Amino acid sequence: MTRYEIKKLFSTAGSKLALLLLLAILLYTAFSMIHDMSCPGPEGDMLQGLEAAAFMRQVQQDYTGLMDEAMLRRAVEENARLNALYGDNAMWYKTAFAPVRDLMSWTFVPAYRDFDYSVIDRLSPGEAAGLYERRVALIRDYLQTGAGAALYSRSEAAYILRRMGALKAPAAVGYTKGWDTLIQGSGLMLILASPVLAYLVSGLFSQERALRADALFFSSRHGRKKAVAAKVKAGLLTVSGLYLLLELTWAVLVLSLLGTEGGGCSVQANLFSWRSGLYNLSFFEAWLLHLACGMIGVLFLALLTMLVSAAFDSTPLAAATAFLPMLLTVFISASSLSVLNRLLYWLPEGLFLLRDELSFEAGFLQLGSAVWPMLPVLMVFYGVLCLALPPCLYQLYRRKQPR
Amino acid sequence: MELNLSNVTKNFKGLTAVDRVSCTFGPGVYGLLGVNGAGKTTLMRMLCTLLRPSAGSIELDGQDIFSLGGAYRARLGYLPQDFGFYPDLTVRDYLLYISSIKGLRPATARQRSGELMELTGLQKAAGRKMKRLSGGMKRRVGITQALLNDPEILILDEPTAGLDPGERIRFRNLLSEIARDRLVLLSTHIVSDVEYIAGQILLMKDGRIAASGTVEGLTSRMPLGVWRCVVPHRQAEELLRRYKVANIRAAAEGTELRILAERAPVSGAEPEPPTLEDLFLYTFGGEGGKDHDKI
Ligand SMILES: Nc1ncnc2c1ncn2[C@@H]1O[C@H](COP(=O)(O)OP(=O)(O)OP(=O)(O)O)[C@@H](O)[C@H]1O
Ligand SMILES: [Mg+2]
Repeated sequence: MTRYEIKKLFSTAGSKLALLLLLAILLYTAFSMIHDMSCPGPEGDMLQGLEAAAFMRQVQQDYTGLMDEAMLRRAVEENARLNALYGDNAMWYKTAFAPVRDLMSWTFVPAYRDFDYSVIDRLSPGEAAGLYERRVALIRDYLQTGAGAALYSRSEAAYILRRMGALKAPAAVGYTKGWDTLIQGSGLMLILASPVLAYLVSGLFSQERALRADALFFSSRHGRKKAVAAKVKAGLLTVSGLYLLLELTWAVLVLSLLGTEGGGCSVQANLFSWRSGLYNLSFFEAWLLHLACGMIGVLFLALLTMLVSAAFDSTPLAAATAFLPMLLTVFISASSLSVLNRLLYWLPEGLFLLRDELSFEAGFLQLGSAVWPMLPVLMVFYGVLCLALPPCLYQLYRRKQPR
Repeated sequence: MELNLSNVTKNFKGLTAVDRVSCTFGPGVYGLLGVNGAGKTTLMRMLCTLLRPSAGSIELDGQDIFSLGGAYRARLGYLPQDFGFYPDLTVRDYLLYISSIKGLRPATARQRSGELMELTGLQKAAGRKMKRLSGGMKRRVGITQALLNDPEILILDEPTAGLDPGERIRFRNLLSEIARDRLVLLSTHIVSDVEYIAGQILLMKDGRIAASGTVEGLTSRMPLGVWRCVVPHRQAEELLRRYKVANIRAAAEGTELRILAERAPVSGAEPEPPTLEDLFLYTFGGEGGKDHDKI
């Protein structure tokens, strides 16, 4: 039963088009992510794309391992040596420790949001060694006396500082372009691909009526029970199967192009998580987390679409629903109403953007004095919906009155 | 096996589509005759558990079919009037899909659909997409799917609609072949479809069963006689106004008429044995449209 339901889903021209679209999204993401990569090369020119990745991969081996005092001192000393040697042209030789340097540029600054590219030139090795302490101090100032004081409640601020204090120091660093691109890229890919995946199942229920096949369906032996369950199962299998296929293809593609090393490096020692990350995670763990979040988000969107398909017997309406959260996200981001902006934290899109969700800027849920960051909240919220919707869908459709 | 309807009624917002229908069906072929809107489809949809009666009950061997649910539907084959299908599936996949929701095991399903495709002459079309079939072929697929689970109760709602005369005759032959030991209920407004194969005829009018019985029984009970006469054209017009006329044919000597009347309408009119078509005309008068004249 389920097998033929899936066959039915894929038999239409629309779904074949959707599959092509998924492939196009995959290739587009790969192209744009890799194209955007660049770094200063040894010959005094900017390297682009795969060439840049290969170069970083090669030279950053010297700065792989725990980013401890010794490594921080070494980076500052090496920086000074290169400055003395090459003067104004020194920037072309610093790619090896650029990740470490960038963390300093984000940390030894007056306020949370500042960035100072040249801070490493003025730091002594001893000062640089205090990188982790300085980070905590920066956040504390931001939350207690800086701009953050107005944005976060006392409990939230206390929570952030507690989590920050618990971050592993020293953190493992190294060349992580492969894993970083894997996670970031698949998030962007899912923003585009999730509505397409949900679109694939938009006709699962409504087509029966549109094709006037519902009378036969419901007058068959299993029409009010098993055949309905098979439909729900077919929808979930199609979406989750294609999702995993998409993710694994992406992973193989990216890691084979950019390298598999760095899976054990700390996410918190990377720019996107350095000043606001709340979690001790390696890149590999973060990828697994991303896979789980993505699965929840994609399934939720598909279930919502299927629910509309079953409830209103309209494929166009269901297909529109598939794109609704994406449009909402764009619409709310563009508006400046703060009420709407609070809603933004709750949209399922967050589940796709793991890099953003690791940060405390993704918001909190506060009940009384208890505080939870949005990532687990979203996972539980949409996870529960994913568990609750299939039975609803089943009960809804098996009671349908054919026309 | 006995399907028992008692006072089955269906109301749609102020309209009574089926009005207190009571009857009992056993194995055999039943022809449900009626004009458009008589309530045939509504009655059949209730027999397929798609609609619940507003009043009355339908029981199979004493058990309500709606509480039997899947167990009842397992014994049912149904061809809806507007038979919908999945345009992009092949005939074979379509039949296998329907087999699966009818609860057939995959091996049985393959064997059964193979046999039936042979019976209905569909083998050559097995790999073709449904949307590429002709209307007659689609009907054949419709009939084939109804037979997949070897149903004891077969409900066919206008199975011959849109078929050419040759297909229609083939269908009749097929039906007499498969009808053995089954309850077959067949709706149509084409009298010749059921005249020879249906053991029992039910005439449905305005939601009620107006008359039922065998063809002979029904026609012998008809209170009017059937007369054949040949008259000049001028007189024919007058007779048309006064009597129910079953058939008109222009002949060399004048107009040949087949008239329903108590007594001979003109001198020289010869009595004829009444047919089911005459009865149809008698029951439904002129409202039957032109469809019953075909073939
Ligand atoms: N779902 C419905 N809602 C409202 N009225 C309906 C519905 N289904 C049927 N009817 C009405 O009930 C009456 C009987 O319709 P039905 O389809 O049973 O007739 P039928 O004998 O099958 O006619 P036909 O020969 O045209 O198929 C019609 O007047 C029709 O308009
Ligand atoms: Mg009908």
